[in-house]
Amino acid sequence: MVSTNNDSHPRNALEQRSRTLFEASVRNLSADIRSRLTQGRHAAIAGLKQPQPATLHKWLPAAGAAVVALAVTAVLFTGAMLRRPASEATLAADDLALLLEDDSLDLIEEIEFYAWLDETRSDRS
Amino acid sequence: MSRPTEASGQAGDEEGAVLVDARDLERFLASVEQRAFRIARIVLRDDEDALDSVQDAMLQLVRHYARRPAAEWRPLFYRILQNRIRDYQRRRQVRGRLFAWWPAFASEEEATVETDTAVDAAPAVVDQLMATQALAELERQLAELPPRQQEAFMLRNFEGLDVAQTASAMGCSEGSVKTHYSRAVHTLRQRLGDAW
Repeated sequence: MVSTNNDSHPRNALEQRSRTLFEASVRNLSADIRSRLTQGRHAAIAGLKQPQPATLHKWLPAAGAAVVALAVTAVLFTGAMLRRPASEATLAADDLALLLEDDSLDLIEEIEFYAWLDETRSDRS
Repeated sequence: MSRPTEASGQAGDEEGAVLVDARDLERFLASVEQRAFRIARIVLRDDEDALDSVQDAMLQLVRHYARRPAAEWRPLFYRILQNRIRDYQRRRQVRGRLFAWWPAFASEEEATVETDTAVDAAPAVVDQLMATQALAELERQLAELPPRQQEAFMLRNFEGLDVAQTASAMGCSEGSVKTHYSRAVHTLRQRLGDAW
């Protein structure tokens, strides 16, 4: 059986059933999860109303924590890395950087999205 | 009635930027947060990671894109969320590699990943049980799909984004979305069987 939804996307039985099950699982989310999502939303909206600190000030505590964490982790893993081949040691260092980084993808997301948007607009015009 | 808020950040000088009504933004987030959590939960299979990724996506949307036209919020939000989900998956893989030699860390990691679902299974009726089992099977099969097929299926079918919005959220062409989606449906149908 095939039906059509509001964006004219035809749905077969599998698509309809999986959508129904998904919707039910959303309705049955626990009160705790709902509450934490609401708190997260309020925290995000609060950020809209507060002035952001200067960029340097914003990053200082995070940068300090990252440097300390990196130093401690480097000491812990130096022995293990020294026993590995050079390429593997480099990979492990990259892995550590990934674990310690926070918002490094922000800029990439912006650049990628607006590049895509420009491309789409120029295709349509 | 709230008045448009002068959002902080640099977005105000961008072409197409608009004044933000905080209530519009809050309504938007309220409309997507629970579904976004379930989508993240299906991929990450962990409540805490799913909650964190949704909260990160909300924060990033507000911080960087609040002043974009409201029509762009949904694809942007899901684009950020998909990036966050991938980030959590990569971090988990890296942690697994780094701490594989340390049994205490490894077992803790496994225990976290296997945390039970957040869905409240209180009504102990047969239909409910069957639905729960069917959903668990669907989630298991979805988790085994290639990531792009997974994204296309969940954004199109669960979140109800149209092809253009899905393409925007995934950062690919509309043709690619159709291909990923169609392959996902085909594979799921094969794996779940005719009866499903």
